[in-house]
Amino acid sequence: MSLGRLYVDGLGVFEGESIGRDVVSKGELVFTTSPSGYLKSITDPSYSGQILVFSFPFIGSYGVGEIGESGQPRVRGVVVNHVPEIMKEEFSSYLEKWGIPGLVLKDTRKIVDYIRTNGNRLGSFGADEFVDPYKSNLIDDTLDNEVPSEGNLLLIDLGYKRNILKFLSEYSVSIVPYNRFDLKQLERVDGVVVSNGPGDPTYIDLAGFVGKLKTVIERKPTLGICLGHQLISLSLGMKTEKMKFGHRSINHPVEDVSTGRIGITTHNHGFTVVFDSSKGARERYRSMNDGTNEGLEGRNFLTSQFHPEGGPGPIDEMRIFAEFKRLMNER
Amino acid sequence: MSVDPAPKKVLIIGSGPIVIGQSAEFDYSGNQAIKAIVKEGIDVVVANSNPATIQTDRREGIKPKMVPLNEESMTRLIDEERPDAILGTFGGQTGLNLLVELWKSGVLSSRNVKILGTQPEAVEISEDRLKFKEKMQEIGEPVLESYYCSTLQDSIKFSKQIGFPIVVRPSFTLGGSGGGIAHNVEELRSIVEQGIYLSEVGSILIEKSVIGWNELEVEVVRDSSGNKIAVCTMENVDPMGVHTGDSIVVTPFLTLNDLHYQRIRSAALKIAERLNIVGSCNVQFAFNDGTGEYYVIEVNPRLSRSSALASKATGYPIARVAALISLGKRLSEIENTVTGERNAAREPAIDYVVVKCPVWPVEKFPEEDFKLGTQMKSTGEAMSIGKTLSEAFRKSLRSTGTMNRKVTFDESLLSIPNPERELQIYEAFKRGYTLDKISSLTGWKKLFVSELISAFDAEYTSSGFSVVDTCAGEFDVKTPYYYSSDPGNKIAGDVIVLGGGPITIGQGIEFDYSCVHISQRLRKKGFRVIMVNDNPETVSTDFDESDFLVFDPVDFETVRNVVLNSTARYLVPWFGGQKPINMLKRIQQEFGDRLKILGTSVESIDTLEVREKFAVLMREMGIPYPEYQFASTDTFMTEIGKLSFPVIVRPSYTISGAHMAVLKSQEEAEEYLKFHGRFVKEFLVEKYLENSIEAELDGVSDGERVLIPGIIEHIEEAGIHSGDSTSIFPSKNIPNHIQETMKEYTKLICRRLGIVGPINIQFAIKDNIVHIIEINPRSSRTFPFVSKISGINLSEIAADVLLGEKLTNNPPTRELVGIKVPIFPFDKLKGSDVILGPEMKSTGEVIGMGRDLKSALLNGYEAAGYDITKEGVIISITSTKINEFLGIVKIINDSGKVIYSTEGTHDKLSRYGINTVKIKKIFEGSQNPLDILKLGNISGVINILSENYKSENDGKLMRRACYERRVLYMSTRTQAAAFAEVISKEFVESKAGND
Repeated sequence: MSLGRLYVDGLGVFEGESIGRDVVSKGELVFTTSPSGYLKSITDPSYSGQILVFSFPFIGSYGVGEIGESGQPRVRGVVVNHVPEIMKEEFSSYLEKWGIPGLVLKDTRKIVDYIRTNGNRLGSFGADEFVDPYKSNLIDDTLDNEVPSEGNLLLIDLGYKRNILKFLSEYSVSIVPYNRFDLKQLERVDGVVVSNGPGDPTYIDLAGFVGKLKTVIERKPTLGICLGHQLISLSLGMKTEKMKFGHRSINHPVEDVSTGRIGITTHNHGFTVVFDSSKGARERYRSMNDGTNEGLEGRNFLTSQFHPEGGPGPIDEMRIFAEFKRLMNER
Repeated sequence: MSVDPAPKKVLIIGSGPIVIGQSAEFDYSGNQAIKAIVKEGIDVVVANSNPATIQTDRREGIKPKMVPLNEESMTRLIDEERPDAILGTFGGQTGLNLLVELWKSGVLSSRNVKILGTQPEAVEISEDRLKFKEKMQEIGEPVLESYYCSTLQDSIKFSKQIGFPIVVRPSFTLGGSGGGIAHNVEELRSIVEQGIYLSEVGSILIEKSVIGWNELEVEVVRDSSGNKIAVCTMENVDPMGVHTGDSIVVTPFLTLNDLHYQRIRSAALKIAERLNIVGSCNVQFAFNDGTGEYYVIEVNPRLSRSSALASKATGYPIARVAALISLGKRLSEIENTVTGERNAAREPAIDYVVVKCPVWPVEKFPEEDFKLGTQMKSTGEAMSIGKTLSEAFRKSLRSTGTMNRKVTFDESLLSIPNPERELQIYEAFKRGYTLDKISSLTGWKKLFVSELISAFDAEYTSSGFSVVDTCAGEFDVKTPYYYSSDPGNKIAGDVIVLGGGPITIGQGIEFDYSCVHISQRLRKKGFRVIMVNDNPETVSTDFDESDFLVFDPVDFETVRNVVLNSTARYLVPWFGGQKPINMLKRIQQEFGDRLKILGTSVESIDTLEVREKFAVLMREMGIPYPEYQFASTDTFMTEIGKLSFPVIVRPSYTISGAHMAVLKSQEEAEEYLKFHGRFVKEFLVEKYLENSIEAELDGVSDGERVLIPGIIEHIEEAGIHSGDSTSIFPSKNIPNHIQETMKEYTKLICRRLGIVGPINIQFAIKDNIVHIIEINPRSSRTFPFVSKISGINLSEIAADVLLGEKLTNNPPTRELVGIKVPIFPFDKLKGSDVILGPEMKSTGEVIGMGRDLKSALLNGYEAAGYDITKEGVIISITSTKINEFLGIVKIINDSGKVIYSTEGTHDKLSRYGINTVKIKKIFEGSQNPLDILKLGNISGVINILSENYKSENDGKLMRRACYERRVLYMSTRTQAAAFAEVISKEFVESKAGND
């Protein structure tokens, strides 16, 4: 067993068992309480720039064979309370293969309590210095360089999760990175999905794209998920703000304001939209935990701050995909 | 959303006595629901025949009715109390069945009683397997290929289509009674016959077997607007084939990837939706992790053992939420009491792993084959919380006593699920078996095998406590509870109250009842209570019944952690049964300087617990007690010679009833030694007070005065365990001066030993001489029974005394008579003889109350399920004893009952002018008592065997037949006398006059 160190800004250093690649790695410390789908979380592009702490202490229990949310791990490091003995080798090798550091630490709850009380802080594997990930472009590294195909549905990639495609299986989907998106691409499609992704929605590199979104939602039925939701809100003129420690779990109840019904949803966001009813959209979903906005509905678009596709987590609110389909059919 | 006005008075049906499959979890669930409903300003009437329950306590807004749980009795109750709504989903299968009966018969609609929560139509779909199958097919959920049969022929026909092995499940029974797995036609034949018989509707389901698949459960809560959450996921460590009540279960799912996890969760939610569940339900699945296939096995549309476990495992109070939903509230309108937010819609998140481990009454039923299958056999369970699975396993092994048990390794036992499988697995590992091999033999996942083995090997220390907070640290919390962990934090608290742990025979719900009262009283007096218990089925482990709930095994390690990591300075060990008492000496030795044990001194306890010291005390005080001797196999005959026959012999220092016997002669003693001497090396031999009357009392002593509400009289003679005796309180047949002697002895002993707190003393009265058989310086099994009838809350008074208060004059007792009738698990434990002896066998009890003994007896028999109004009585009395019974038989005859008797009895009775129908003995062929029983018109059997009767088999067959048909079986004069009294013409007439 080799010793690993995690430095937590403002809290000090934690020593534990090092697993995965023993490298210096810096990012924002966040936690999820999800007990399932650890591999999906690790590979979720929305976690780019972040060191992920698992509240659930028994991680790795079913190996690493699960299909990920992208082709490789996206987190900057993993902190777990425990990995079952017979799974440790497999889990550690997986992280090692992708160059990700991990730490097995009995005191994970202390970090969780600290984050809950003080908000997200920076963390660092192996070095007592911190780097704010939001000062750099977190999206571009996660993008696949796929050649856009001739599909009838356009998925604008900001670091999309593979599970989203499962709910779009009846369409021919062409995926285009946000930075190669061109309004001309709208002509041949019936609808647009603006994907999830990491980072601050107001990051400078996204400004041009946000400008185009105003046109997108006017011209094509649009579904925005997570970052996609935030960017559409920005394009409407609403504001976003950084949350204290965000929402990152698979057990969050959201209320569908249009029906009063509640669904349990997966969340992974550190920023939130400050809903403004004067900007041309209704509030469609609201968090039952803290009342923050969780989705919009406009004349021609739907957005969700949560992940209707789960991965990991429930798909209680997957009906948003059906509604999106209806929007497209109505055209 | 419900537009009906809120009800003003709700009737809640309880679950009745503790039986295998229905334990304390329904007192917990019901009580939590009651608390929630009363808080809404609604009156509650609770119907439950089990006195050892918190829910039957009289409290503000709550009216307990300890009545029999059957349709007639409930109809009477509804007419008396006029509730405008009823809840039947909090009383287990008993409550649910009763609700359906009352609904079908129109009792509810004709009296405008609204059914709250899940409606009976939905209940019927879940309970009737054919309807269930159709419904699942309709909504596209996979179910096993199965056929519904009401005849043996049909089941054999369909078995050919399905192919063996085949699972047989009877419709509408308790705890899966009578089910089984058949591997061939012969097995099918016997299981089907029994299943059809036990099913209330005479039908069974045979289905494709998925033995060996993964068994999964999801606990769902849904409101009437269709909002729903999965509160908890549970994975059975034991594969399909072992009843989930007998399985080791972990929470949450640990071996499923997210795709599978969500597939099962989504299916559970969908099923709750389509069944229109209002409240909570539990959905069980068989899952094949190789293929990802699953089948829906069953749905329990009510609170259940699993819902109690799910609540305790997550901190989410399912019963409370389900009750409020039943009143029309939506999930979003209900507060999460742990975090204090108005948001019961969030699915709980946990940052620990939970293991549930059952316990079986293996030692009590030596004849029973404890192979685990579809018939549940465990009496209780421990829930353990750890950061890792092996840590949680370790706590389970501690709690269930497995760590201290030894087994002989037997490879074949790896592939047969049985209560000692953890030890067999560990032994196999030590012998070099690979994890893969053990996994394939046991059907356990390799992960579980590996974690279990490290639980045996690793040492876990704790340095304080972690919390159960429903959200894994994501939100601030108000009222969490705790489990030991490392690292851990300190807690506050003043007094530690030790609970009883898992429910076993002899260590039942009665102790939890007292623990809850103690906690309430101590808190009222301003003390912060730390409750230690790991039984998820109990009220004491409800999050708001103490200030700091420590959910850990009731053992020394836990006490050490609490002492070192809390501010507690006092310990109350008297209310958790024998378990806490056994570690007092050690606690005193190690922590005596920092922890004060409130009440009786450890030295006095020692005097009472150590046999030799007890004998010296009795001799010094001049109190008669049964003489005894310790003997080895070598000295057995000589030591026995020092006592006169008959004697009771039991293995010394073991808790096994396997080798216990009453010996009446030199020959029997020799025979006993020859056989049992091979297994047992040391014995305690005690003088057996034959034909004596047994009695006991409960009291509270302050060291000077003793409060004794009365004497409990046992109907069975001495030699039958007090817990198994039908008991009368206050005693009606024991002469006053004898009762006074018992009270006097009690006072003398309490003063002499400085007893402060609760006390229970057991007596045998022979030839008007009072002998003390046993003294328990703690709260006893009968505390709730005595408290409920006398109206004196003994636990509360005991709490006051422990805090240093002095007793004043005896408070007045109520003018009521109560009878406690024990309930036995022989229907689940089919291999065991239905016979009572010095070893306790009952799992629970019912109460009958009345203004006089007879009406109490009548109610008691009815509550226990005996119908003594039937016209026939079977009597068989050995010729030497028949004279003693003449008076009794005459009363029975005069009452108009038809008496069936075997030849000898018939002839003798006819000589006294009593006409009976002559029948044959069992071995003589047809028209024997077994055939008569089948007619179904028998209200009781009096079977008095000769003392030298060698053919025990007849008695055994008769006892089991009576038990299975719920016919009162009487083997002693006192039992028969009580029966005669109740059915007597005079009494029946007086009853009729009263009505």
